[in-house]
Amino acid sequence: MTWLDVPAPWAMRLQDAASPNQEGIHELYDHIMFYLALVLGLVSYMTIVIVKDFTKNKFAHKQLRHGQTLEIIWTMFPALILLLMSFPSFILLYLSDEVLTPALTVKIVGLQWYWKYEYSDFVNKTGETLEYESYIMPDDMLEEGNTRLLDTDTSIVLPVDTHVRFIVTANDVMHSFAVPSLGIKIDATPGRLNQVSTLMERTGVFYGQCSELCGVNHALMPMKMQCVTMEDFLTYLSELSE
Amino acid sequence: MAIAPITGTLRRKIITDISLAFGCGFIFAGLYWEFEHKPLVQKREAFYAQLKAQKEAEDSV
Repeated sequence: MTWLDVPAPWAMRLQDAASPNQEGIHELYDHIMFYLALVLGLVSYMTIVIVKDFTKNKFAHKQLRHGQTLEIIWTMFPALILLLMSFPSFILLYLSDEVLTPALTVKIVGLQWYWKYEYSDFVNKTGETLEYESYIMPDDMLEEGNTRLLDTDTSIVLPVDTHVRFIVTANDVMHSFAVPSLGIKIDATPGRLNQVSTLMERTGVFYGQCSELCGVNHALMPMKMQCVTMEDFLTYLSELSE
Repeated sequence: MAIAPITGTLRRKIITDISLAFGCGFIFAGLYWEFEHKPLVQKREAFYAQLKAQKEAEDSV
């Protein structure tokens, strides 16, 4: 089975989910599409009937000045549809906002035009926090299988099935940290710490792009996240701390 | 001769029209649910069930 973890040409749907948040977004998307299809069928039928009935009937609307029943119907029905769409949407919104007992915290700093990642829970042998920068891979350095404008020289490495908290900020202008496969999009604002959490349910490589217009190279500061097993994560950490 | 007011057109057809319109809507929506949503969820659930079984097998070794 192949997962859609990067944008693909002519792709119609959202990228595949790798976290419960994104699965919730998929469910919401399908619920809203259900109502959309319902409204499409209803409006199409009504349009055809109106065109058919009134094209040759010049006098049908001659005495029609207002129609209270009709107005009640066309006000109540859209209101009902909006209510049906808004409740699941609010539930998901507030569930996504919860940050429950994270096992690991990663600090993410947005800069013009790269990202800096900091594993705030760990220090290296000299007692400094583990941190590094991540720049886009230039076109002339891309290798077979790399994704243009999405691959970076270093990536955030995180363990699977672990509650991770991201603390996001910026150093110069506003940026936005977004990873579609995880259903994350959070503003990186100078002087402010925003937090969001995730739980990756499967291993893989997930990509994202800065989602707040931050200057001339806004398109050139992607983020790459590698989700690995806990053993591989610990190996990575020990290599990083040396 | 004056043309008599044409009234009651809404009342006469409204039940039929709204029922048929909702029928069309529910057919579209049902098709989307059956042929788009359900297979995707099924595929996803099957993958995670298989992943869980695999993890349990690895843990039991």
